[in-house]
Order: sequence, then C-alpha cells, then structure tokens
Amino acid sequence: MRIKLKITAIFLLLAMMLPTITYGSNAAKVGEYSVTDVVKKVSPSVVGIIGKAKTGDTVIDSSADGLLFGTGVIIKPNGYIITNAHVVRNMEKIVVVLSNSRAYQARLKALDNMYDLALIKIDKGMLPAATFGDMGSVEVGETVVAIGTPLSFSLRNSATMGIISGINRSVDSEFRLIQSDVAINKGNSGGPLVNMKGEVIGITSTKYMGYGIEGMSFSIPIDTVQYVISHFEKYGKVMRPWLGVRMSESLLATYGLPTDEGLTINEVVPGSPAEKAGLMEDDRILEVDGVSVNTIIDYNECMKKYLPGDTAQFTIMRAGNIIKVSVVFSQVP
Amino acid sequence: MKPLKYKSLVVFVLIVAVLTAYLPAAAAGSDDILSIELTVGSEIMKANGAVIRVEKPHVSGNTVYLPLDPILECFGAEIVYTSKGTVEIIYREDLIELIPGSSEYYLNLKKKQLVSAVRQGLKGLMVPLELITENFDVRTEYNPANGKIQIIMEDDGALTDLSFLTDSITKPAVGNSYFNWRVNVPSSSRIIDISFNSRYVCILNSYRGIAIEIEVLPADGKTLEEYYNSVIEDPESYLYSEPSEALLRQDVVPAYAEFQYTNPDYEAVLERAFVKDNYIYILRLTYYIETDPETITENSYLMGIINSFSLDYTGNDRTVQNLSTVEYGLVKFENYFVLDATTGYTLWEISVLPEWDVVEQSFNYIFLGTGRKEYISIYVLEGPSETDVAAYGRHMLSNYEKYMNPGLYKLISAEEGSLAGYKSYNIMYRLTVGDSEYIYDDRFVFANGLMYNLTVKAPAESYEEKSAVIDNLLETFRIGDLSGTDFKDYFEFYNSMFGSRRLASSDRIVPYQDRNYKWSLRLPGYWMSYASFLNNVKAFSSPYAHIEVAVEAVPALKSIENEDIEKQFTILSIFLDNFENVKTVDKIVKEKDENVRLLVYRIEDEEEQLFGELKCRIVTGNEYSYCFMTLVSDSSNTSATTEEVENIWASFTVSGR
Repeated sequence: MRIKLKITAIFLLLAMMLPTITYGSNAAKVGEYSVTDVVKKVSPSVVGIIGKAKTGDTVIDSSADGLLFGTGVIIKPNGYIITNAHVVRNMEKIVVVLSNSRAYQARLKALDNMYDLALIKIDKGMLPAATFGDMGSVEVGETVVAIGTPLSFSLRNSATMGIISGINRSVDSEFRLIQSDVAINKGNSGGPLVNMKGEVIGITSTKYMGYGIEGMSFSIPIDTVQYVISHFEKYGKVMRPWLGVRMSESLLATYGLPTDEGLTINEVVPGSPAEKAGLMEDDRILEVDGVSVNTIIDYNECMKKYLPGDTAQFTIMRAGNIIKVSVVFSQVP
Repeated sequence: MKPLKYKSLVVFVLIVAVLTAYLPAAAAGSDDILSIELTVGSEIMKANGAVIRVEKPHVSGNTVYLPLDPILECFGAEIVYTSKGTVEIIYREDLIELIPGSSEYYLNLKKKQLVSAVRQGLKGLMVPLELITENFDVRTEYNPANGKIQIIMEDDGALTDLSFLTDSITKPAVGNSYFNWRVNVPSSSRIIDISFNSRYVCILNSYRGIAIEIEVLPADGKTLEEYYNSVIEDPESYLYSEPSEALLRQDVVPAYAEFQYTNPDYEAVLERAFVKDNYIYILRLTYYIETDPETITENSYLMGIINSFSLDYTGNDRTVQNLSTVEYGLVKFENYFVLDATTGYTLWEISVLPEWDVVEQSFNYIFLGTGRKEYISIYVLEGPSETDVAAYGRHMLSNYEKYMNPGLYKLISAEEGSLAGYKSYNIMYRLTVGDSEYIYDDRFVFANGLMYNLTVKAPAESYEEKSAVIDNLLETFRIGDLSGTDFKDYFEFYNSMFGSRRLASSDRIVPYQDRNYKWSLRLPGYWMSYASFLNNVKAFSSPYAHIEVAVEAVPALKSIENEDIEKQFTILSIFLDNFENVKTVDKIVKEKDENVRLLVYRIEDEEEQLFGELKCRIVTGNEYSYCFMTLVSDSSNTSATTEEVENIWASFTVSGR
C-alpha cells in the first residue's frame, strides 16, 4: 500500500510539474511566452547574413575589409529567407549562417528597393521556418523582441526588447511602418520583430535609422512582408500597378491631422493610364473602389490590392464636382 | 506479491509514457546528416524522423519511382515548373532540367540519359531512383524484399572554408575545374582579381613579393609552336617587352613555351604558355621585388610554383581551392553601377557561356560573346517619351525598313513578347555583313524609366543549332530593381557625361553648335550624340541605321593639301590604324563654294565586322581646320541614308570666317 501511494504521489507530482518543463507549441496553449521562450522559439529561424561587397571599381566600406552583414528570417523549411534589400543588394557572395553556426552559400532570388525587401535561398532543407503573426492583432504598447546581428557578425542572433510605440507610421517612406523602441543597430536590418507569442510581426529595417533619434526604430509590417513575398513567389518581383501621375497630399494630411481632402494630381504622364482614363491636373482623388485615400500611404496601401491590367474606379473631385473615372492600371515603365 | 509488482509496473510505464509524450521528437541524425526513408506502396516518408505524407513510391519493371518534390524539399533544392512544360531543379552549382515523359534530361545544359522516363504523378513528378543517386551527393539503398528505400545525405553543403569572403587562399593550391588548370600557391596568398568568367585570375603574395596570373584565351586553331612564333615576331603585343630568354619545350608534358623578361614596370617576369582543347593557358609569375628574370629561374621555390601548373584538374580535390565561377554551365555577368563609395545598383545581369568574354564595353553598353560575329549586346539608354514598348518597337521597325539596305537586310519577324518579366518588342532580321549572313535578334524593354536594348547576333548558318542555347541565355536576363531610388536621375547625369543621348525629344531637324570650336550643323532630333573625352571631337549616330558623323577640329592647318593630312586628325588616324581600309579617293573638290580635301576609304574589316565607306571632308576656317567624317556601313547604304548624311554635311557651317 505504502509503495502504491508513493508511486501515485510521484506520478501526481510529475503531472503538476509538466507545464513548467515543457515549451514550444504546448506552452502556446496556456498563453504568451516569456522573453526567454520567445527567443528560444524564434532564434533558430533567424540567420546572420554576411557577404563580400560588390565593388565595381570602388571599395565599399574599406574599413570592414569589404564585408557587409545583416540578418534574415527563414520563411520556408526548404531554405527561403527574407531580409532587407539594402542588406544583400551590394553583396557579391552572400553567405547565410544559421543559429547553429553552420554556413551556406546563398543566392538572391528577388529584390525590391521600394519595400526594402529581398528573398534569398540556401540549398538546405528541414529548416525551422518562422511563424508570421497577424497585423490586425498588433497593439501599441505590446512587448516585442528584435533579434539580429547588431554591430559585429560575432554578435549575431542578439536579442533586444521593447514595446510597440506606433503603427501606421511613416518616415521618409511612402508605406506604413511599425515604430518601436527596441534597440537596434545596422546589422539588425532584415531581422524579425517578434511578439510575445513568438510570431514575427515585422522585419526590422535600419534604412530609416538616419533619423537618429534614440528609442525609435522602424520595421516593415508583416502584412507588407507577406504581400511582397507572395509577389516574389508568383512573379519574381513586385508587380506594381501604375497610374502615371504625380500627386501630393493636403497639408493637414502631412501633419497627420484628420482630413478628407484626398490627393491632388499635380502632373499626368503622357500616354499613362491616368491620361487614357481622362484624369487631369488639379483633380483630387478621394476614393479608389470605395476606399478613402487621403495620404500617399493610404494610396500605396490601397494599391496592394491591384495588379497591372486591373481596373479600379476612382472617385475624384474636379471643379467642385464629384465624378467617377474607371482606370486600367499598367506596369510601371 | 505478484499483483502488486504488476500494478507498480503499470504505473511506472504510465509515468514514463506521460513524461516522454512531452519530449520533442528526437532526430534520427545530427543537423548535417539527412536520412530519408520511404517504402514502396506507402505514402509515409520519414525525414530525420519527421513523418511526411507523399505520393506512394512504386516499382515499374526494374525501376523504382519516387516522388520528386518532397524529397527535394528535404534537400533544400529549388523546383520550378516552367511554362514550357519542363521541370527545373536548382541545387548548389547544378541546374537539372527534366522533361515529363522522357528519359532524357539536361544537367548544366548537357544532355543525359536515364534508364526509364520521368513520369507525371498525381501530386508532382515521379522520378527513377537513379536520378537521385546520379545527381545528388547522397547514398541510396533499396531493399526489394521489403520495398524500403533509404536516402542518406551526409554532406548538406555547409561551407567549411569561408576564406573566399576575404579573398584569402587557405589551401596549398588553386584551380579552375571548368578550364581544368591548377597551380600551387604560397600560404598567405590572396586573390586580387578574377574575371566574371574566371578566365583571368590574379593572386598576390606580398610576403614573397610575387603575383601569379593565370589567363585562359581562345586558341582559334593556333598550335603552341604558332603561338610561340607569334610572340617572337611581335613581343611588344604579347609581352610589352623584349624577352631575354624564349624557349619552346615540346619534349615535356604538358608542352609549353616560356618567356623571361622585365616588364615596363621593371619587374622580373617568367611566363609560360600551354595549348590544350583550343585554349591557350598563360601562367605568368611576376617577381616584383626583382628586375632580372634570372632571379626567378634561380629560385627553386618559385620554380616549384611554376612547375606545379597542370591541366588535369576537374574539381573534387580538397587541397585545391576551386576558383571557377561557372554555375549550371554558365557564368553570370552583372552590370553593377557604382554611384558612390557606399551605394551601387544592379542595372541588369545575364548568364553566358564560360567561353564568352567582354568584346567591348562602355558606360552604357556591353558586348559579351566570342567576338564581333557572335555576341549579346546590351544597351541601356534614357527612357524615351513613349510609355508603350510595342509602339516604340513598331516605330523602330519602320525605320529599319526605311534605312536598311534591302539587298542585305531581310526582316524575319517582328512581334510583342516578354523579356525578364517585362513586355518587350522583338525584331529579328537577317543581315549580310561582308560575305556572310547573320541573324540579329533585337529586343526592346522599358524598365526603371530606362530603355534596355538587347541584341543577339550569330552566324545564320549555325543559328538554328545554337538557338536553344541562345534562348537559355536570354531566359537568364534579369533587370535590377530600382524602385524607390533616384537612380534614373543619376543615370541621366552620368549618361550626359559618358554615354549617348538623343539630340531632341522630337524627330524634327535641330541645330547643334560647338561654340568653342566655332562650327555648327543640323541633324534629325532622333540622332544620338556621344560624350567624348576629347573636347575637339563630337560624334553622332543614327539609332535606325549604321551611319555615323564625327567632327574633329584642330588648330588651322597651313594647307589642306598636306601629304600627311590624315595624321593631323587624331580620330581619323586612329580609325585608319585600327580598321582594314583602302583609300579610294583623295582629291581637292569644290563644295559649298569652298575648297574641300575629299578622302574616301573603303572599309572591309572581317574581324571587326565593319564593311562600308568612310568619307572625310577637310576644310579650314580662321582658327581651326575641320575633318567632317561620315561612316556609312554597307547594310545601311540606301538613298535615304545617303540623303540624310549629305544633308547634315550641307548644314555644316564654320563661323567667324
């Protein structure tokens, strides 16, 4: 009887301890991870990227022996990695170093300078791909972790923590960015911004570091990343719909104040879809297929729904009248 | 006692079961070893213990068929189902192209054969086990008794030597597995230059004061002895110096020609040339801390390096660092535009055959090929005002039809197409140049606000057999992404200084004036003007025809009747020195109410592929004398072009007389 009780007691004790000794998907069932858990979960999907600088006839950053480095995120088990365009654009030979320190030659598959994203590939399978989060559930104030290669390649897979300071931010950018206060440095570029569920919600880009104010870093939101990846996979590049106008937002919009003034067309490119559709200078674009556009960011985010060849109905204000114009987008020349 | 023991055992087993249920699945091997297990007739595949559902392997005749996609996913290979119905596999340095239903396939563009055909399965391709065994660095085992198939990959391609990132050489030798050479190098050597096709390599060892260069050149049918004789007859062209010693050693293997000399920088050089498989291999050791080449021949260490050179290296030697840049049977050329010390952009890239080289290159164009008879040329020009490439292409075509010599030019096709993922307009035509016919395949693409004009030229007689290779090369053409950058503005700035641009946005006749040298003329706005490093020279050409106009001004000559008048004009004398020509006219004529020295040359240069007429008119003003040159190639010799160049000449005016 005594032995039976002992065994049962041990069993019960172990059963109670189980939630504290398990990790991974089981812990997700019981809520968010600790920071340590997040780093442990995501770090295997984070890679260091190092490469020889292309030179043409000029040495780039000769103080670093012509080596450039950054960070990337494994997005598929068969070796596809997302990073910033500016990390790999100037690399002649790209090498990816996994979290287990094994290094592989990589090749550039696709790159987009405007979104500052690039897709590279290593010939290695069975890799731990990162899990993407949902932008819809990202909230200001939530804790996030950035993992990357801050200042030196020997510091790769370093982790820093902060909070989301803002969403819908823009810094010399025509696209929405996530603002946070995680400490990042040059080599963090291309690395993940991760929520406390261990999900990637952004790709860090130090392209915007020039603004140099402490406690402000910017990441490309995960929905934008997913949009770009889907275009890379289907088309090998981002297929932007082209309207063929130069436009500007109102002063209120520039200051981030509420407005419904729309975007003013300053110039219509001859032969462009805008000209063919009859859009004119001084027209104000108010909506695209029923979606209000009052800032350049609004317009660019809206354009993600379209491809060259698609048609959209523009609601415009011309000389005080609201008219609707159907436009067929073409490819950016 | 028995019942108690049984119960405690059950409880113990339960405890262990509960504990192990939370342990992560143990891998079958370590990170670098991949073990895949399949069974004939079963949809279960295990990869390092992880279970994956796949299409069932089966046996047909003696062939075991496996599902391709899930296996290659585990390898990390890239699979592309192409629009032409083939399946491409990219893995490390190899490109495999499979044709569903065929037992033929291509490995790095070379045809190979399987015992059985590749089949289309329900979820993807089913391939013979032989394909996996032959083309991937794996061990495979099949047990017919139980239908089990095992695939073991022990080397996952992880890099063990990253010294290439710093260009340092960590192995005792370097080699080129494509061109089959290898040579020993001293430790602490560094690669300081390597061409895109790895046909030229330069290695420096500053500790020993030596540079080792290896160059692979086309032999064009020359034997070693013929090469040796060529060097002896014209050493300046080959060595830039007179050799102090020259040897032809045909009694050794491999046979070589050796030249010892002091180069123009007063450095000691020993150079050996070898000929094999229609290539000339040059091995050049420069001992730059010495002047006398005998210091090399008397140095047993340096001679050991020279004598270590061999032509039997095919790769797979751990003591040799392979410098070949050949991937999938091709080499990549990237047009990387450097803007400043920290910024550069890729304008375009293309993969070509390793035997190809840069034939000609300038700021905004490059010719890659075997020479002027077979090449791909890529021009990047400022974007035209049109935004529709098809309209632009049709406009170009109408001008080809107008300006090309109908006796030599024949249109083959003109149609809309695509190139590098962009809409293109393609014009293919046959052109007779000299005594031979060539096929030209012109492609126009608008991208990044710029115009890309890619032209393939190849001899007509062999075009059909080469067309598959040419198509492969064109498919590798990629245009760099410049979105969100100010690159177009930079390009236009640099183009105005170093490249060429339209004279005007409209096609109408426009004036052009050179105030410094006091002349002017009028040309159609669509003509291109070229930036020149010589302030006294201006050059123009038509984009629709092979016609060019150039004006060179020199301080006023005392007389235009000088016997050596050609040497007074730099551009004219350089042109005549570099192109085969025969003077057919040399006389003074009266044109536009003045005396003009008229010189006409018939140009027939097979190597440079230039056949036509160069006409020079020399006139004198108050301060300057001018050579007005027009070059009309035979292919553009029509009444329309004749009228156009004569009109330009008629408009040429010297001011201040």
